[in-house]
Amino acid sequence: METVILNVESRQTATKGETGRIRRSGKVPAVFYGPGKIGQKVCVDAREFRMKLDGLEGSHLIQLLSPAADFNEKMVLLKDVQRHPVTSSPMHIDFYEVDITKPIIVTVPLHFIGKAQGVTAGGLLQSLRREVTVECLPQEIPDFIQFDVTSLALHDTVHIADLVLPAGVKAVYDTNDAVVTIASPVAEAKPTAAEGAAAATEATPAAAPAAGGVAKAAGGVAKAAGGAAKAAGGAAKSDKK
Amino acid sequence: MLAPKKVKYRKQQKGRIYGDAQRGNSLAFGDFGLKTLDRGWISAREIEAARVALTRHVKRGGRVWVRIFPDKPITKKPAETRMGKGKGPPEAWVAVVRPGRMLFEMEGIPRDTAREALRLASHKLSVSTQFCERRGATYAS
Repeated sequence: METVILNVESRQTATKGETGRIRRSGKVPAVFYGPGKIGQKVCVDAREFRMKLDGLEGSHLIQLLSPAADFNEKMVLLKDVQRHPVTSSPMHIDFYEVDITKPIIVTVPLHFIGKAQGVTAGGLLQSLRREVTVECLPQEIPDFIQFDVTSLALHDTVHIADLVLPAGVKAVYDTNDAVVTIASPVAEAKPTAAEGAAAATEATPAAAPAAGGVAKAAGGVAKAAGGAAKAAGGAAKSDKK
Repeated sequence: MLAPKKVKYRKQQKGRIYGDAQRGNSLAFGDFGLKTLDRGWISAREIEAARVALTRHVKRGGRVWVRIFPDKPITKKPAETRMGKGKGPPEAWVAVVRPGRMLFEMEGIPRDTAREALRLASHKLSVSTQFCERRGATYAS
């Protein structure tokens, strides 16, 4: 895994107005901290961040470059990235300093390659986990862990312990969870084949309140009609008088 | 169509839709998704129509998740009724969505198929939408 080099600048204030101004000027507010260290406010160029880190998946070691000696040449990981709900652009970044001589626990994405035998037989490849937690030295974090699913037949399941990890990388888990399975096609095929029937059965409970509403409305109309009849009766009475 | 099984109160006030979606705004299950860029109400009929469009296009294979649920009752006065005499009966169920809300997610199909299926589904909805993709989404073909 190659180390990403990122330029950072220190910033002084953390008010909402100031962070807004930073964002409008094409930068992203960030914070730099580590074990036993108090957070320090920094900011990075949004374009540089997007170019170097936004498209990457998994954990990547980053080397910070800064005029300030506090952050210069520090090795960090992305601890958290807050994103805009609509545009998904980064709003705030957390840089976490790591000691490159000590092993750390990070998550690494899983990639499944090949076409499983079970899929050829009509099954569905279901990835139950997209990433796996591993322990390794920061400089040995794999970009991804690849698993060939070609030999998997219908109903076969791969667990975390079955994954082949690179040297120096150890999977961390409490329970040996399933990672990928070839599910039966029956559950997926039925709704498609009998879509109309399913829609009809689904519509029944939903239609009930609506029908009730219609019935009530009809009742209301009937009441109104009754009221009109009464009114007419009253008018007739008054005519008689 | 989707509808709550039981509700505490039959009728609700209209309400206002402020802000962006602070939850349910990212891909949680699938590799591909459809996100709304508008705020509004999406009716149970629209959701069902979009879901059918999705499943018909992908035929067999792939999974679809519907990330919204219509839990807001909409009332309507009967036709040719004079004003007053109280609020009308519940007629439909809608889901309240804010910009950024993930509406549908898909998995287990190629990218182009997912994009086309979600495009077809988007035509059934009353909000403008955007196709979303997980970073590094892989499909074992």
